[in-house]
This record gives sequence, C-alpha cells and structure tokens, in this order.
Amino acid sequence: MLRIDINILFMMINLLILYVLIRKFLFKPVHNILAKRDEEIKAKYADADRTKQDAQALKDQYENSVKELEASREEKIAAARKDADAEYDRIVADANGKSDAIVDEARKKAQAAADQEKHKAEEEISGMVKDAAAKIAEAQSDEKLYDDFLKQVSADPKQEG
Amino acid sequence: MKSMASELVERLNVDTAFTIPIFGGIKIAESVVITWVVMAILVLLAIWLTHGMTVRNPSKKQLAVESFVTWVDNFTAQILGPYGKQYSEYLGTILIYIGLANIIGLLGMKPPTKDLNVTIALAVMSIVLIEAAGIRAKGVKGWAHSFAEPIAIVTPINILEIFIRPLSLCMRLFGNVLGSFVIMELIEMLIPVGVPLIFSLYFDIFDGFIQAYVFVFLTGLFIQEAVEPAEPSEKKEKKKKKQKAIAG
Repeated sequence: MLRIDINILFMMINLLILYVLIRKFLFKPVHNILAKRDEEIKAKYADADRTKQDAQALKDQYENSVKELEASREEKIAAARKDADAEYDRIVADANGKSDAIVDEARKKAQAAADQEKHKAEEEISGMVKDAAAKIAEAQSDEKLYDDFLKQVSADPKQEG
Repeated sequence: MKSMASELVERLNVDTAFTIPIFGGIKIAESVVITWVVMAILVLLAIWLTHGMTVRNPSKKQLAVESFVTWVDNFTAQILGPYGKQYSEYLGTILIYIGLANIIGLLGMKPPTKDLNVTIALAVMSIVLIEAAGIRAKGVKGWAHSFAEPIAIVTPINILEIFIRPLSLCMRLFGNVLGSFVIMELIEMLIPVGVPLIFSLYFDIFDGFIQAYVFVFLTGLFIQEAVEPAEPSEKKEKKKKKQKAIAG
C-alpha cells in the first residue's frame, strides 16, 4: 500500500517544472499587468497634479491680470474724473464770467434806458410845467375877463331879467 | 464484505501507470501521471486566463485571474513577511497544485497527494527551500548559529526539526487525503447515488483546500522564521532596557 521509490524524484522534477511554467504563464503576466496599471495610475495622478498646478498658475495669472486691469481702470477713472472736474470747473468759471458780463451789460443798458427815460420824463415834466404855467397865466387873464364881465353885468341890470 | 475490502485495498494501491524499459524498468507511478494531468490543466488554464490581458478595460476573465493572483500574493506575502517575499511565487504554485491535486478526485482520478511519494517530494522540497532561504538570508554561519537560538540547549531539538518538519508536513497531507479518499470510497461503495456528493463537499473540496492551505501556511511560516533577522540577544536587550531606564 505504501510505496516509496524513484517517483519522489519524478515528482520533484514535476513540481519544479510546474513552478517554472506557472511562474511564466500565470504570475509573470498578471504581475506585469498589475505593475503596468499601477504605473499608469501613478502617471495619471502625476498628470492630474501637473494639470491642476497649471490650471492654478493660469488662474493666478488671470486673477493678477484682472487685478491689474482693475487697478488701471480705477486709475483711469480717477484721472478722467479729475479731468472732468477740471473741465467742469473751467466751464462753470467761464459761464460765470460770461454771465457776469452779460448781467453787467444788461445792467448798464437798463441804466442807460432808465436814464434816457428819466431824461425824457424830465423833459416832459418841464414841458408840462411850462404848459401849466402858461395855462395858469391864461387862467389869470380869464379870471380878469370873468371879473370884467361880472362888472359889466352888474353895471347893466336890464339885460339880466 | 470480503470483496469490498479487497476492492478498497486495490483502490488504495498506487498503481504503476507504465514502465520505462531502461535500467531494468522504471515504474512510473499513477500519481506522477495524474500530476502531469494536473500540471497540464493548470498551465493551460493559466495560458487561457492570461491570454489577451489588457491594462485598460480588463475582461471579467482577467479580473478573476487578477484577483486570484492578488489573493495568492497577499496570502503568501502575509505569511512570509518582508524578508521572504521572493518565495511567494513558489508557495503560490504549491498552493494551487495541492489544491487541484486534492480535489481531482471529483474528476474520477485518484488524488496524487494520496501517494506518499508526492507528499515526500513536496515536503523535501519545502525543507530544502526553508534551509536554503535561511542560508541565503543569514549566510552559512548565521544559519548554523540560528540552531542555537534562543539558547544553546535547544540545539539538538532544532536540528531534529530539520527532519520533523518535513515529516509532519508530508504525513499530515498524506494522511488527510488518504483518509478522505478511504471514506469517500467506502461511501461510494455503500450508497453510490446522491450521498457521496454531499460528503464529497467536505472530504474532497473543503478538506482538500484546507490541507493545501495548511501545507503552504506551514512552509511559509518556516521560511519566514528562517529568513527573519536574528533578534538581539537577551543581554543586549537588558542593557538597552537599563539605558532606557537611565535615560527615562
């Protein structure tokens, strides 16, 4: 029933051959594939990291440029505002000057017109005074005439009734 | 009953498959031939499974073989520890060989591990590998010295272990497989329908895999023990502890 013989040696050879074959056909290819996949995954991670860094750098750059743009925009706006203020002041000053001149002129014209009117009025008044004086003088003669008439009437009562 | 016994004994015999007619006839045992079958199955399976593997989009077949190999690697690497990793593939091979050899009874063949020649071959290779690993890891001097660890008085026992370990490995595997084979044969003789199937689940499949596992586990453990760097001796340890205590 128990049998121990040269077959031990054959079995050892068998096992060694099996070891070599299994290593060649099972472990090696599978390990290769696993190692390759591992490498690929690592490469992908590295790639992803690099891409992320690039993206971050681009983002930083973009943000910087945006900041710069913002700054220059503010600067330009400030400068423009300053210019506009100066222009405004100038225009207002100009307008003020012009309006003052206009007002002065108008005042002068009004004054001249008023003076003229006054002169005219004075002349008229003096004319009127003269007329009045003449009329008064005339009226004085009428009164005399009236008195004369009255005197005449009282001197001739027949004529009355 | 007598015929049954004689039939059983006949089944238990390791037949000679054929004889090579040189040196007065070399008798090739049945177990060796069945081992060839097992080898052929394993190698063809390996070639088929690893054929057309891709790094991306692996097929289900590839995923299966990958997870199987990863499992074997993890299992052996766990036993072997960090210093014995290079023996992982040998242990993996032995694991799948004994695994398939033990359950080949399901295909109607006699399991080769039922033959003492096979288990002796496996055990001798294991002990050679264990000692070779020890010599490779520690050098001849370190390996020789490892017999006197942890104290000199255990040296004879450690030397005896060179013979005890393979003997126990070989006898455990042989005894278990032979035992299940005998029980299965008896059950098949008594009730040839249905019942053997249920018992086969335990005696062929479960016990077969357990024995493959145990054989590989123990071999791996011994290799790990052999390649492990020598621990600092007790004196040094005490010194260290004292230094620590002083420092603390």
